[in-house]
Amino acid sequence: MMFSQYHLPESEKAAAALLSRSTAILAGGTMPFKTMPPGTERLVSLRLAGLDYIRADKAGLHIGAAAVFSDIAKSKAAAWAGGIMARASDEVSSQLIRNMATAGGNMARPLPWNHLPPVFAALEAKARVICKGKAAWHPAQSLAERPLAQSLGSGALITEFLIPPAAKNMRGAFVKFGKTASSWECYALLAAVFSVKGGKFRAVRLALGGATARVVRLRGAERALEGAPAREASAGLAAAASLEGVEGLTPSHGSPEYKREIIPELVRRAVTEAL
Amino acid sequence: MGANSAVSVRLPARTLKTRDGIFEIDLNLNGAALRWRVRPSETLLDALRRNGWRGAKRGCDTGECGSCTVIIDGRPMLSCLLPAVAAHGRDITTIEGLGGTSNPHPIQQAFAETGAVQCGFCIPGMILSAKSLLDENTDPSPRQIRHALDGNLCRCTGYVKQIEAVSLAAQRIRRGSPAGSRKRRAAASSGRT
Repeated sequence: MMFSQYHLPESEKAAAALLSRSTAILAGGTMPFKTMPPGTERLVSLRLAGLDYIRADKAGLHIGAAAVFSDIAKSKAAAWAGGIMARASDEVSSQLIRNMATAGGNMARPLPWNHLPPVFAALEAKARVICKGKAAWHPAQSLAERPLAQSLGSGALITEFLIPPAAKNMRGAFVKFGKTASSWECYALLAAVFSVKGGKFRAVRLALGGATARVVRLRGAERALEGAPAREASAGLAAAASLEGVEGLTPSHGSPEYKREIIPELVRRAVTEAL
Repeated sequence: MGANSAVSVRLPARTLKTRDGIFEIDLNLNGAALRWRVRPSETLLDALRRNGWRGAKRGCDTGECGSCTVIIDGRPMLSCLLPAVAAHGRDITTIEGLGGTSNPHPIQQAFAETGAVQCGFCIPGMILSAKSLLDENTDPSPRQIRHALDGNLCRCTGYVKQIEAVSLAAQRIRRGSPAGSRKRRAAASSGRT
């Protein structure tokens, strides 16, 4: 049984009022029929809900949940921290998908290769979510670790991501390993962010996607790099420690053994590139 | 499915409900305001082809190949993924809306002249992606062209001629001489390129 209602709410509030167990949200619409839960009666499009903005202010970078990848990739506001937000958005699949797929959809749909969840995790972004009529901010990391429905139950709507202002010396890199530069279903992808202060690495955050079912922070590599001299040789330290505590490497798109070879190399590349 | 009809889509309804399992949607297709009857399970590609607009091709049907590309509100998108009902209130251009044999668009003309077309199955999508690029940037680099066309797969060619074709079309658009000489146009339409 397919849905029997289609709604085009013109505000976030109007969209939130339509949330229920039988509501499916249509953001970019890249895979609605494949992911539409059984029992969906109402399809709610966010196209006119005013959630497609990308703007920066003192609080940080605001990305509306319905902002599409091609707009994020082009946005000057998203260019800081080594441009990792723009680069991750620009390397998702194809231009045709980038014109449709949204930031919110990329976080809400629990697919391991999604490019933005590790970037949001590395940038310590927060996500604003409306659930049961109330809006609350959640660390993007927590949403990236578990599917939205598991974290918050059904009937939740992500409305915005807020990325804190970039530190003055913040640097970053987004690297991935896939069949082609724009492969979405890649073997592994990594977002790396750190600052350089007094010639040393500080505030290191490395978030891995693709290789595991959900995003994981590479805590071992982060510890190895924190306080180390900010030079290329230190990238090797991070690479050597990159697999510490990483569990659940998936066998899809490359065997776990293969991914154990790839991940240290991605860490080395990301740190070197960001420097 | 019953008859479809012409209507205004300036202020489309914000809530649609099925009647006997069918949505009525209003859309602007190739400059004409239309009312279509679509099923919830249909994609935009299904609806286009059922209504006789066969320029958009069914290839992979999973958003991988780009042969179903149409321009929606100014951007090329995959009609095989979008529910037909989501076309409600939108402005859609298919390859038929660009031009035909007697009045080719400069990009169509350039594809014919440079030999960028072999079997032709992917070409409507590729031309629509190129159009969207050239609408924004009339002087794209080869890298920008490849990036804009990266969702349109071609199994016949090596893409080289198609990138040449888009460059040629861009050059002509910049110069304001869209379709080239009459002689070239005649040669292209007779198959002698």
